[in-house]
Amino acid sequence: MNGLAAKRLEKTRGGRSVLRGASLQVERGASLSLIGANGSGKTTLLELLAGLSRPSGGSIIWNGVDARKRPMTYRRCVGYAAHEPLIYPEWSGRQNLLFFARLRGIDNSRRQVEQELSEAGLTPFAETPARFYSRGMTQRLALARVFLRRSELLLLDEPFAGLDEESRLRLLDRLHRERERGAALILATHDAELSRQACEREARLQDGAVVFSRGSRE
Amino acid sequence: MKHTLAQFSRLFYKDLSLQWRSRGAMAVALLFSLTAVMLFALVYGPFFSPPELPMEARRRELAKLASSIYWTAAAFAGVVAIYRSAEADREAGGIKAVRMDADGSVIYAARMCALSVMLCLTQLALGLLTAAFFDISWLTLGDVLRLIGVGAAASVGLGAVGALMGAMAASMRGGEGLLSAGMLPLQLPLLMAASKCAAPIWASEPIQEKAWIALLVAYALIMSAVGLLLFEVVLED
Repeated sequence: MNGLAAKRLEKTRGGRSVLRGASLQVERGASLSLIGANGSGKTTLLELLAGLSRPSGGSIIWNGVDARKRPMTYRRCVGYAAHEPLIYPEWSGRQNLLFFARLRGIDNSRRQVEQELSEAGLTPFAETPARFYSRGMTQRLALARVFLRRSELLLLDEPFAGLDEESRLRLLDRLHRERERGAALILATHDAELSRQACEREARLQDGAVVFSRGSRE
Repeated sequence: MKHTLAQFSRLFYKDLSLQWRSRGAMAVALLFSLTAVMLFALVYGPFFSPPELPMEARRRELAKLASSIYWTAAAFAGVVAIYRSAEADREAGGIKAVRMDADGSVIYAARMCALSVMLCLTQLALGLLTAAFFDISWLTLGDVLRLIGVGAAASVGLGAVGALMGAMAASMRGGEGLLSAGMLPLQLPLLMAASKCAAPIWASEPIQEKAWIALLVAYALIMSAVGLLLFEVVLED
């Protein structure tokens, strides 16, 4: 399949079964939003799909790359924004992005970083340590780190959290452009309206399984 | 290979840089360690052994005390440095973002090397003060180099086990307590070997019991190998 295929994913944490046979598919350029109550397993599912956590059962394959068998190859295809910003608060926004760009081996990293800083509206604060950023600025930096990667699969956990109206619109536009260039998108959100605006399909996590509810072909 | 080396150097720089930024905690640990060294030196003093003992015997006794106090203080400072290093990575989830691009073994190797450098520097400062407070003035350049060798081997061992344990502790609630409880017994063989190797050097004598040198080196090598193999598993949850 040309995209992501996750089959019968299971995850047990602290003796509790969080995911029980969750399956989903997302093709390149397509999008899916995950909704569900607190503790329904959205974050756990995204961590598994990001390759950061080991599933207790099931398989995850992106364009023929098995996440268990070739974890590094798989993870390099993924851009993941978590609940936490996944940055170094002691460093400035620019330092953070430069570090991650160079770690990935991005060509012209400085130019790319400046472009992302500008797009995130963070250029005036680029030299300020990230621990002084507001919630919204931190979120924009976190998303800039993800977009900098030009990933084929975007996994975003509550990407709109903390953003003001203008930033939300900018993010919706960016997500649209990312999909146009062929990236697949999965996002977890509580906001039904933003879910509809950002994604063509919607799925609910219920009792540890994925239940498709809108735009479904499953 | 070139890309891996580039990643290693970036991660090494990152770890050193974050350690430097949390130097306040390190300064407190160092201060506590120095207080311990100073108190022992003042209570027992450079003349703690009966003055009627021959110079050779007094020197030996003093060297044993200096070595044991020095390594106790170094172990404490080490635990603080190790926890700070893991905590800086965990604080806002930076380690997760790093894992998206770098293999666990590269992350581990960089962390271990950065910790070893930090521990070496800490030990250097402690060593100078131990020599000053215990009035150890008879060391030759060769002795100093041998002490640095022992310190470097011990730092690699501590860095190896610390990078692994720190990652485990940082992923758990109340991890600092777990780190102390787990680290101290785990590093006991290393500390014993380092103390036994360093004691004769502090007395400017050759190391008679070579087995302690073998233990020191073997510990560093084995722990490094174990860390390289297990680090990804520890992070993976």
